[in-house]
Amino acid sequence: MRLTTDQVEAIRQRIQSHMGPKARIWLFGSRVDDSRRGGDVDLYVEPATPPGLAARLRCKSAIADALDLDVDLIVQQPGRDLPIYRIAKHSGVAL
Amino acid sequence: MREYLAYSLSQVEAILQLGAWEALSPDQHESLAAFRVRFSEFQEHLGKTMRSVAIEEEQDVERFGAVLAFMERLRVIDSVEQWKLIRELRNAVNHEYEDDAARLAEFFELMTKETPVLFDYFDRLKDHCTQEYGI
Repeated sequence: MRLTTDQVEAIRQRIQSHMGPKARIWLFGSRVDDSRRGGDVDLYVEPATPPGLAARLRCKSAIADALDLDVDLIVQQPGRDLPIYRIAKHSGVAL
Repeated sequence: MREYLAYSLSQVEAILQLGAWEALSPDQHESLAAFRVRFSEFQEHLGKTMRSVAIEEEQDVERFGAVLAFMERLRVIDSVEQWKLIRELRNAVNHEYEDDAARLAEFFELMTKETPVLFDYFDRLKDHCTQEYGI
């Protein structure tokens, strides 16, 4: 995984602040591959309580600012089971 | 550009009042598409104009965050975070646009709420330019 401990903590703090302390987070995509360089930070979140659109957008912006990296934030939508959710959990690393 | 966005806003507000997101007509979809494009363009052009003003006033513009901080100091925008929310909304509506009715309604409700904020920022920037440069 190509994130530092501080970066992981920054992600956790911001997601928990916007989506509750019980939100579950996975890092997936190129940042889990130690052999690659650079790349966006792809995150998948299963919140305990679904956030509104504004909270989700503010959260993404706050993480991008904290890491100074491009972030792609996918938040599980209630009642939906999209393939990307399974891919993120299967190929990703829980933070 | 502002007038066109204002027109699109009125069209979309009427659609929102109907609340019939499951059965939108082709005309209504066209109104939503026009609003999405006009909102995006207006936000983008306003951002570029802010950057131009910052350059004119010899501010650091290497990072757009510095431009936003300057605009906040000038009281052109209420807060950097507010502008970033609008920017994220523009990006999201263009990348995550989908047919799911509930998601669609959520996007357009937030865009209709933020459009008057963009108009307000535009007016403040215009006032600043009038005051400082006499244009």
